Amino acid sequence: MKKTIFLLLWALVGLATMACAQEGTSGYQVFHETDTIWHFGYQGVNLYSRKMHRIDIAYPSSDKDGNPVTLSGYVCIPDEVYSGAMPCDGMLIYNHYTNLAPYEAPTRGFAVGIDFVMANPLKPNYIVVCSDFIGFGLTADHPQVYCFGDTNGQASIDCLLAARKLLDERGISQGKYLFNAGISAGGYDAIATQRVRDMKYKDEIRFDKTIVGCAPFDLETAYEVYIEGKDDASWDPTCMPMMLDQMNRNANLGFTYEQMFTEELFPHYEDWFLSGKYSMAELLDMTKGKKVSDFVRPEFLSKRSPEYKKIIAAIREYSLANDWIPDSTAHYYVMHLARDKVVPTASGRKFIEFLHDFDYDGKTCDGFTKSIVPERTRLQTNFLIPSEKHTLVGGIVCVLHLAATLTAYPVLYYDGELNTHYADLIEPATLMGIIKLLESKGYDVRGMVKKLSGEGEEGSTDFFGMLSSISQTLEKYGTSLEEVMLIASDSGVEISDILAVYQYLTADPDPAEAKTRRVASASDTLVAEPMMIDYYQQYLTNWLNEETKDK
Amino acid sequence: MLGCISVFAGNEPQTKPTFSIVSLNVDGLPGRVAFLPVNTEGPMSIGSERISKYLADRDCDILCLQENFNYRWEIWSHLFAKYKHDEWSGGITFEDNEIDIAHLQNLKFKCDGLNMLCHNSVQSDRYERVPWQQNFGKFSHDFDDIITKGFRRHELTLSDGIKIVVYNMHMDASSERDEQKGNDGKDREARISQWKQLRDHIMERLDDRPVIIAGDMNSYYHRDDFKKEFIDAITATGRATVSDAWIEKCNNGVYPEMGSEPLACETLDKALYINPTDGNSLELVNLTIDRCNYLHNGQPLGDHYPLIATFRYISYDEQGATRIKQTAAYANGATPEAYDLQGRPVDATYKGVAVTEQGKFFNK
Repeated sequence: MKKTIFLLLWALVGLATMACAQEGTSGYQVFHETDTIWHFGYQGVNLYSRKMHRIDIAYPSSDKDGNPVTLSGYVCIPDEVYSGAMPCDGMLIYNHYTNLAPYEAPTRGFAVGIDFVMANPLKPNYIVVCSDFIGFGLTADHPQVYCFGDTNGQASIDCLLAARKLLDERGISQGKYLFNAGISAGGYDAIATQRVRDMKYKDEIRFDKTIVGCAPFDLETAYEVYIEGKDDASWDPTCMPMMLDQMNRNANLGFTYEQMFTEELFPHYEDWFLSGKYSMAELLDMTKGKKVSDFVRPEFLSKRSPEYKKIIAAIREYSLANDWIPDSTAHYYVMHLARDKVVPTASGRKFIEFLHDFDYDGKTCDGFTKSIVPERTRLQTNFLIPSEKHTLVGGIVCVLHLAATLTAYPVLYYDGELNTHYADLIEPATLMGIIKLLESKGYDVRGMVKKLSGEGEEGSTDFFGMLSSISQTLEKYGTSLEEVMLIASDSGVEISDILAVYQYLTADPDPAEAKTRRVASASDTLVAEPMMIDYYQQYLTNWLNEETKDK
Repeated sequence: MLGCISVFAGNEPQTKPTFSIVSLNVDGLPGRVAFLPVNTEGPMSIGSERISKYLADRDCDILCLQENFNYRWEIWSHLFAKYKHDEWSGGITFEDNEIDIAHLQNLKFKCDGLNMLCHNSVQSDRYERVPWQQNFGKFSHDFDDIITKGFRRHELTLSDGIKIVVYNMHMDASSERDEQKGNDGKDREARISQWKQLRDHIMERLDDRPVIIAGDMNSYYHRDDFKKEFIDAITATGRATVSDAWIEKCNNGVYPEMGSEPLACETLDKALYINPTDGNSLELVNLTIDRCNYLHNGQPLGDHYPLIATFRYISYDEQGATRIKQTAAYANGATPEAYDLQGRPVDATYKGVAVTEQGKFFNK
């Protein structure tokens, strides 16, 4: 009842405002405009704030079936830019994360996440464009589309096009740069936005960078990980039911809530997830301590069941990877917590693998080589942080990175190319490059390694002995060599790189031999015996497998 | 013999008046700005005083200086007695600027580093400061765009009534790194645009006075086609002829081809002069790129050598009367300005400006 009254009121407000709205000449309408304040703080403690001018617009887009629909979104301009006191550096499409309650709609003033980006002390001078997405704002009477195909990506692109028209008509500069970003489900939508752009708007839109945080790119992988962790209460129990509901509803699979969910959930599902009574944060509190298996029926948690196969078939049919030929000149930053317990890390990892392994006319794209060092690649990755806290750590790291990127870009790319001093600075930022830099500064890196390994002394150890020792040390810190190797690989440091460094540092220091082994430049390539690296790599892989098996 | 204006006595060529002009980049960037090393190898305070002494000893009539940023007092220290100067537009200091660290992209120093000094007997009739329309490289490519680079136009009357126009300028640089990597295309583009802007500015205002263009052009004939865009373009109008002092005196009148091998003797600093058709003209008497005296303990005083040119003035008609025609560009009367060594506008009555006791000035 409450919801009906609310929706009625919202519709009335919408109609009233639409009636006196400023109609753009190109299909958008301004239905609300306000000065607002965004905050940077936590739990009511506001450390910094920033005045923003928000213009709420209604704009034409399409729903998941391609039918026309009028969505709402906002164009939010920092006060300094709106007043003309400071120049605008660019625009940011912000794809909002999972919301449930109507008041969490961006045009209702809900700005948690993006407020951290804009109100932190760096105060980037960007115009934020954010769609409510279907199911919020003017379409609050529709069910939301959540991690399904690229419907929300289309909504963001349409919102950007409408925003551009609005800003042009008002004579507000849009600046030089354009970013696309999102975290969690918003990260999925940021990828979807890039996909829609690559497939339909290549000539009109170009993102300087797409910034994706803790996103479930590959839902099949996510599903599998949820199943593996179904009895582990540390996993978030809400994502899996939402994902099943979305697939079932949007792909018309025909399951009832009773069929999908256990008795603990299905009587409450509509009330908890769909009524709009609860926010996502409240729902997480309500379901604390529950496991996936408490909410989802076993048929949907068994890989052999027809139900599972039906869901997987739908996931595959609507996968973002389908038919997408990624623009190999695009730039990405993909971040994920190494132990994320809401969105499985493996699901995010699939995205960097998708870009890296994509077959571009018979070859992979050199630009999509994983690297944690910004600007050494078009695929910057950060899977470094061994935390489980999706929102508190993952979310904050991602928004701060976004703020830093927005701030740094106008300086780093001021002249339309990467700053040459910075480019020179990061050129040697590889494992081998750093070692060579240290050596060129007079550090005896080989000597240090030998000292650490106790070479020449009683009880000195070989490579595998060193690994064992490192593994034991890591265990004390609650991690393992396997995890560290995986984190390193996600960050662009592969086993072969580590082995090459090991071989370089432990080889015979005979000057004549060293001379032939070193390369003249400070590049990251090493003239080493490929056979030797293969040999070590094979042994190391086997050794890691054995270690894992023991555990 | 450098400098000293000869006395005009009749029409004999040897008695026609001469004057000298020096162009020098005084390398006056600070050693450090805040904690950042900027020009730690530069002359800094002590070296700048030596440069001042050097300039005073040369006793040229007109000094066109570039990069006179943070050590202006040192640069002027030996010149107070004989010279006055134009506006000093500031140094590279953070104290005087509110630096918005979070939005460094908006940082722009208002200074241009240009400074002209001339003998006290020289009258500044009109002065104009113009920024370049196109620069390239704010945080790299030699940081040209972080200051307000441009040129200054001076209309001068020398002690014996000779009227000339002098342009002092500093064009965009390329870094060695970018040149080596072939990444200096946009620097070249910016420079050529600046040559064109300069050409158009000169031609819009050209009357019967000869024009001298001196400064740090950061240009070599083999890499920047300013011969085509500036020298040939002006000559093609039929309104004036352009000469480069270095070409005339040091390269046998031959212009190096665009794309040819660099010549070791060519410098980035140049002195060109324009003689208007049917106007008064200049004749180059001498040119010195002083690599021998601009030294201290065998090391150059700065990163550029002084370029010293001596000109002879030849009036168009026998009476030697100057026939200044007010050009369209000044029809509305731009405010001419000149400054004494304390930075106050001088000759206020002439310019319609009066100076109050507090040092503030107002239009009369």
